[in-house]
Amino acid sequence: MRERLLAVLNENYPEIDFLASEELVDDGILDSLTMVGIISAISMEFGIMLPYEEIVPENFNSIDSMVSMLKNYV
Amino acid sequence: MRFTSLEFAIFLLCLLLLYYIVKSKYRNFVLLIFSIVFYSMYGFEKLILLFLTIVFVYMICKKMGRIYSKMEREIEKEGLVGKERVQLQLLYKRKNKGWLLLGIGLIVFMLCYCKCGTYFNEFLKSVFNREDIVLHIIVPMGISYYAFSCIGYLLDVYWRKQKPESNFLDLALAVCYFPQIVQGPIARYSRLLPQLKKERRISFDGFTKGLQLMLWGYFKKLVIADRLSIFVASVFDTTTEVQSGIYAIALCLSTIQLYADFSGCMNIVHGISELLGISLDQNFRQPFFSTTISEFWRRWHITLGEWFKDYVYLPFASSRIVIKLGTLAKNAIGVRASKSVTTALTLFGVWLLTGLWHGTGMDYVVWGIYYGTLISVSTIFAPEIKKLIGFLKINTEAVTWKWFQMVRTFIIFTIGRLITVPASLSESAHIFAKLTDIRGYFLEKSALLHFGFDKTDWSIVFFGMALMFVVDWIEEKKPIREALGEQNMLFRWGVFYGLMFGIVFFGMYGPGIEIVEFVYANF
Repeated sequence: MRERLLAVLNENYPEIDFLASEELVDDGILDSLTMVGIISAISMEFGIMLPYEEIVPENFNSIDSMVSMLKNYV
Repeated sequence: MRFTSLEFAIFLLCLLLLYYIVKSKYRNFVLLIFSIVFYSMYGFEKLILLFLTIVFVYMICKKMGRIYSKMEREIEKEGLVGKERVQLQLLYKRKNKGWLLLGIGLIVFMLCYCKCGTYFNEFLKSVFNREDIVLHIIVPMGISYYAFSCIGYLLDVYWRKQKPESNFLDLALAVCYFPQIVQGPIARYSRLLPQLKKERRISFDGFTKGLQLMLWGYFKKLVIADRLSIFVASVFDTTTEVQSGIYAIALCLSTIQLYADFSGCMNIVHGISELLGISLDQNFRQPFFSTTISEFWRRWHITLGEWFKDYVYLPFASSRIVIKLGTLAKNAIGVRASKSVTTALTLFGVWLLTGLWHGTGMDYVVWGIYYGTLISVSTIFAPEIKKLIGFLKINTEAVTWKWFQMVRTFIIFTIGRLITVPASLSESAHIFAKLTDIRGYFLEKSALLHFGFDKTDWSIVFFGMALMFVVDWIEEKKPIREALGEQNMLFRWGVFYGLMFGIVFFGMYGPGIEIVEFVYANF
């Protein structure tokens, strides 16, 4: 799942290095608009609906935190 | 009761005396009573609508809270984790959806009734062909502010970002807290309620800082905004032909007038609140130092922009319908184009709603489309714009480039004013056409000494605007009250007395002067 998620993120946001930090949101690499874009890309790729309340920094700070969130829905 | 009236000064003095005398635990009660008194000055029937809103919101949030409490107990009892836990949470969220829709529906209905009631009245007249049909429409003061705050609170409880407030009086105070109810900022109860619950200590330093902020707000309103309004109103209300140069100057001044009026009002509101030991959300952050129009809207009326971002843009952009549309678009036209489609769709929706928040006329629809187009285009084509800047070898770090960007932002905003300031859209189009007349920019020396303005007026507003610019420029680098606090006592008191004398001698108040209502007071 990790590799598949990374491929989706790189396809949609080639300008962002998602492995560069464990604090992607806290470091200002991802903002709320990008998080929504990621939610949208993930939903399309995995055919799921992530609820809005999942858009919180702790779910997007790293690839691993995104995988943890995703595991609850896939 | 306007903030610039004598009655308000007496009201505030009485409140402060009582507020500081009573024990800390009774302060909320005092504030609530005074807030009710303040609001009832606008009409008792308006108070009833406000009260009903508070009761509905309180009851609905309590109900949602009870349903979520049941969910928590079930999770704990069953020891659910991971996927099972999420499934149960989604199930309970669905149970609460009806309550949420009921709450939002009631508030939106009330908002529509107040904002569009006159249109409905006209519609009834035309349908029944009777001129005597008159609906008595009650428009509660500040409904656009507290209605949005209440919708935000309902959604926060629904998304489990906030626990519902159990104390009715605390919620009532958060909703009708008098400094912010009529003109904002749009409160987030998640930040206001905890402040109301804790003991508030007001230091001498905090008290003087509150007074300083109020003083600066009154200066901006009474000395700059109200004086500028004379010239601006005269130019746009005149029936005679006006030169393009005069229109251009009046438009630019109308932008500064709006800023001085609205940000001045916010300074007064924040200052009053600081006297009471309560900190409100910031609504302005030197917007005219913005280098793009998107940045401008993150610095101007911040609480409205944040509200639309958190409660409309982000939920809509991550909604099922937009994601499905994005999937279809992705398969048909590729990743980049599909992102552009969904971005444009959501931004347009948000800006149309932002326009309708400001007014229900066609001018505000056009205003929304204007910003929707500008911001969508700049967001979608950001990579191309970046490439073009690189191709043209523009040094984006140069001060001159930053100044160019700031002037460009000011012009874009001023064009937006052209849509809403004149009496109608056809009048706006007429002035827009007139502005292209280059010859009209060569003005005679005395051309500006009409429209109710003489040399003294020009001197006062120029001094006022220059001072406002300097204050914003300092604030951009360091909080000005902090910077002022580091100066010698003589200088500090000189500044305060200067401002006070400025208001006393050059402020627009007193007999024979037409009272100018705060621009954002009638929303």
